[in-house]
Amino acid sequence: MKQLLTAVILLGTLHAQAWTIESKVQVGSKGEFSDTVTLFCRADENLCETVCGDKNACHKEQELCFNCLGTANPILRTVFTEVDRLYRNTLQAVPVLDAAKVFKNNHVFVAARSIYNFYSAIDSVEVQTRFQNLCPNPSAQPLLVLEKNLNNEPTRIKYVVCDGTGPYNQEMQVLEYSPRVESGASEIKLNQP
Amino acid sequence: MKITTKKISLLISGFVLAGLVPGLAQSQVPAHQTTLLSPLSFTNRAQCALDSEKPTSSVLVMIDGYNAGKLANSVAKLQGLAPEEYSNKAMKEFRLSVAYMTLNIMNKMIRGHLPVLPTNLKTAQLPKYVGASQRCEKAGNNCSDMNDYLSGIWTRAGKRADLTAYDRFTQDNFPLHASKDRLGCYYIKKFSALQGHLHNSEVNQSNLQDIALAYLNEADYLTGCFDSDDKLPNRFVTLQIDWETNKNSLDIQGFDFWNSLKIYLSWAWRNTNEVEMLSPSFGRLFRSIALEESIMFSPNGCKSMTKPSCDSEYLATNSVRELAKLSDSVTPEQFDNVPVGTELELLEKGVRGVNNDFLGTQSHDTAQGWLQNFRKNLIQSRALIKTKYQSATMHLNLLQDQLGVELLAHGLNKELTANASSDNLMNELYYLCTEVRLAGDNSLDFLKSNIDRIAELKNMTQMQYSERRSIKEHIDFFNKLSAPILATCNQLEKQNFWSKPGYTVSKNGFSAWAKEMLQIGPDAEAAPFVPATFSGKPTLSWSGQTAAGAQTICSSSIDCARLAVKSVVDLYAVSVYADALIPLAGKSSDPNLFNPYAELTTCKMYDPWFQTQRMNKVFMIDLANTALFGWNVLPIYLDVNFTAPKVVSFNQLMKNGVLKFDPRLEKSKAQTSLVADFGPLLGAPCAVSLNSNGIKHYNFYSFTGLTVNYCDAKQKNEVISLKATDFANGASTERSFCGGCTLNFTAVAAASTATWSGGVNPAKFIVYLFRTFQKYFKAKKDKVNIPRGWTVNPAYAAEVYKKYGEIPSHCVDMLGKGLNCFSDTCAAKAAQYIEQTYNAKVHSAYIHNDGDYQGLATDTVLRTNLCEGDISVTAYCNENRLEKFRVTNVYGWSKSCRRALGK
Repeated sequence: MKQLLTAVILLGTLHAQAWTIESKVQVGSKGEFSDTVTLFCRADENLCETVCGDKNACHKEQELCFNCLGTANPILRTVFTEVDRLYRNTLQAVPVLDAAKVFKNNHVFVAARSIYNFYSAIDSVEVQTRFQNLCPNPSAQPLLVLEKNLNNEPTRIKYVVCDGTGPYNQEMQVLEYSPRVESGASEIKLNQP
Repeated sequence: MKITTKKISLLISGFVLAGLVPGLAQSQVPAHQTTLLSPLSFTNRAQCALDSEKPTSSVLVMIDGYNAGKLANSVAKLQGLAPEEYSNKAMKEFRLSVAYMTLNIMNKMIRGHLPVLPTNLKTAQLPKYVGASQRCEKAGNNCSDMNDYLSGIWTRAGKRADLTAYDRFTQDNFPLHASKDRLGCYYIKKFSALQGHLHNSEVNQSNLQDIALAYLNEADYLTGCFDSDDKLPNRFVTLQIDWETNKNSLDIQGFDFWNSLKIYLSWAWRNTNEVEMLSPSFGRLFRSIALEESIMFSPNGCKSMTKPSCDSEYLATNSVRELAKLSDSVTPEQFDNVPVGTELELLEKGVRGVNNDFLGTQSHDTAQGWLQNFRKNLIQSRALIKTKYQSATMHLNLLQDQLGVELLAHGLNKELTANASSDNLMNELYYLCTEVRLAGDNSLDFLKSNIDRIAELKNMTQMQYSERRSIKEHIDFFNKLSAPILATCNQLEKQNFWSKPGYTVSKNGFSAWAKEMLQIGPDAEAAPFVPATFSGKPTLSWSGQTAAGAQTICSSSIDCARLAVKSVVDLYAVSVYADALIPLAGKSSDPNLFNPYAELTTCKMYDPWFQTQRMNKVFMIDLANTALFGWNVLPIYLDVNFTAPKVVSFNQLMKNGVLKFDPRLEKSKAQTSLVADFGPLLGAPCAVSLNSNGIKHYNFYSFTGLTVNYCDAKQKNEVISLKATDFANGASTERSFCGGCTLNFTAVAAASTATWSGGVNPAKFIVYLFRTFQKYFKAKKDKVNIPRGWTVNPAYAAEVYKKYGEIPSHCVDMLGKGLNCFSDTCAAKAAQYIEQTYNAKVHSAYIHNDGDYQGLATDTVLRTNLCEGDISVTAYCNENRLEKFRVTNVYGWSKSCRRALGK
């Protein structure tokens, strides 16, 4: 009985997630610009309902990101200049409930074409390549997920949202600090924990 | 209530602004004036130094719209809109928002709606505030306590009882005076005589005329902060905010006021929606702008926003002044690979001029041009420091994660064994050994103790995101790595490793920082240095599969060790100027740009009272001289001069994460020389050279000849006569008096003094006494080192200029005292009293009865716009002590005047 229950639970968590997240700058009714993220859910996906009670989509404004618009934050500096050198995708998917928490608070979603990029032009091909390098499949808009501290400053690069195959098939995958270094010396074993 | 032209213009400007600026009509722009408000305060060097200890009432806000512009550019491109148009719009709205938020908060504090928070937390009596501050300092930036606390204050703004209950605020945290303050806010188009105190250290006819003309053409130089004319540039903006307030309250609360402004501004910008008032389009996004990187405050003049203190934080913050200067030829100290340190830079630069436009505000056509130059240097040095920090921590992390001390030491030995005789290896080991010695050797201590101290500095430990390791761990790694390397180097030296015949080290391969320390210049002929990969492939490199492609990090264990040393030296360089260039979150910086004496005075390198004290000391000694020598026949007179105490070095003391500098002074020395005065015989006093000839007891000196000294520091061209009839060129003497002469005396053991027909020389006594006073009064005229200040009201200067077509010389003194020009200073002072007390305009004033000579009060008769007829003001007035001016009676001679005066 216990084994059956475990198997059912495992199967449940392994069930592929069916949602996408889109980040964009929106214009409000009074002409006000805001940075927003929208979570779209497929009909059979519960995530949106868990997050905001709406079965189809959840929309939120990415409010205060302390000192993000400028060159003050070193995490953003890493994101736009060398994230693919220092981080790798573990391909480990974030469970749905955790993804809901991430979407709801204390995290900021950053795309390659982003207003937070103060290090190069907004259309920079290099930045696009950097973000793509973190995803296993070609993704239209890979999103990096940064954790914010109590002062609303991004402090950690945590996840990347990559496309799977087909629509509504994105996944939030865990990133890990793992410098992409090579060594010519045989006795050196790289990236030991 | 009389409607003056000023009030009308204020009302009109209010309405005009409300119409032009979107959103302004709905919000209440804090009441402020747009025509110049505060008098200009001119000071010489000594007064400027003294003023640095007092709080200012006028500040400049320097705004760089880049972040706002780039944001709008990105938004426009994402939305398919016109980038340039939106950039300009955003920069304008950013400027308006900064002006609005600053004025709004100042207004709230001035009216007592927001309490003034104390700067000194040690003596603060606010338990909640101190608690939140301490918790947040401990938690780094990962703390919401202070935000919550400030939010609590903001919601209770204007409700005194609620505020007092919230935290133990007392009357000391609210306005200490009843009279109304006024605020003025101006957009500076061009620096002019209206900021004349920044480039003149005295007041005279000529600069008064400049001030008058500038005031009459004010529109060319200033406009209102909220002027939304699209032709005004918004990328680099300098605003001037004048705060007219009670002087006593300012002295008590001033520093706390400005500190509170910065705290409230940083908080309110992010945590309220007030920014959206002036920028409905971008307001929501503006909240995430790196505000403290985009704006900078500076006192407008010699006074300060922050109390000066001789420590690394204050000196670093003020060192940005060097970046505001014009010169392209000198590389600013912030760009050095190995900075000498802010206190040593201070010693090197020494005493310098002030209020002579050394920042070049007059050299640019527009204020925008001046600020652009400043920001360019500031941003470059800031970018350099940040890149250094980021690279250094990344490399140190890589070296510790991937290699570690043991592997590096092992690799080093392996390379040494395999390649012992190769020139490349010898060179690289030479570089490594030298560099580790410079940075890590305890006994030599070129940089060792500086590097060890980095981990204690608050500006480094609170620097954001040493994500994987703390600064202390990096320093510990460096120390652990240096130990075996130094041991190996010592061993190699003992074995004369580098004494191979035919081998000379190529100095070109030293790191840039080592070259700077060792003063090795560039060698154009030598081939550029490329580190060797002794094992065929680099020890550490970036993978080719990243966007940036393959790149070597370090080629060999030796190279990797050198990288560790370089990274730590870079961290040291960052720590010296971090306070200035990387503002800690939530704290705008406010360097005292226009007053280099702020640091010099607080670090005791300049004492503004020294000259005055010396003048008094010399005066006393001269009087003593007159008593001692003035009566006798000896042509001798002791001249005492005191040299200023000189700071020779600084003791460094780490206190609360900030490096405090304790000046070590060489005390004031008395330099004595005996001056022989032959009065009518030679005309000028000659210096005396005394040669004791080895004789211990002597009665008098015998004249052995005359030396005439030309003005030459190297003391060439001296004519020496060994005997009265002998003249020849000779060697230098100990003292050389420029343009004077030296009388040479030799001690004579015993001689008859009978030649002097003894007794008193009364004429000489009088002469000496006269000379004593003459010297004293001449010293008093020292323009630079005796504190002297002037106050000029530009509106008065303009009025006088309009009336006479020039500034008459008799008006200079009165205008320099902040008064209008009337027949007499006391009359002008009485006129000022009436204007300020009754909000009137005085047309004429003359002294009716000057009681000063009899010690009685002076009677001044005035005509004003208050009424028909004369008004009489009786007051005690001393022209030279105007601060003691005291009114005893005000009387209206006509009925209308008595009514106007309320009597």
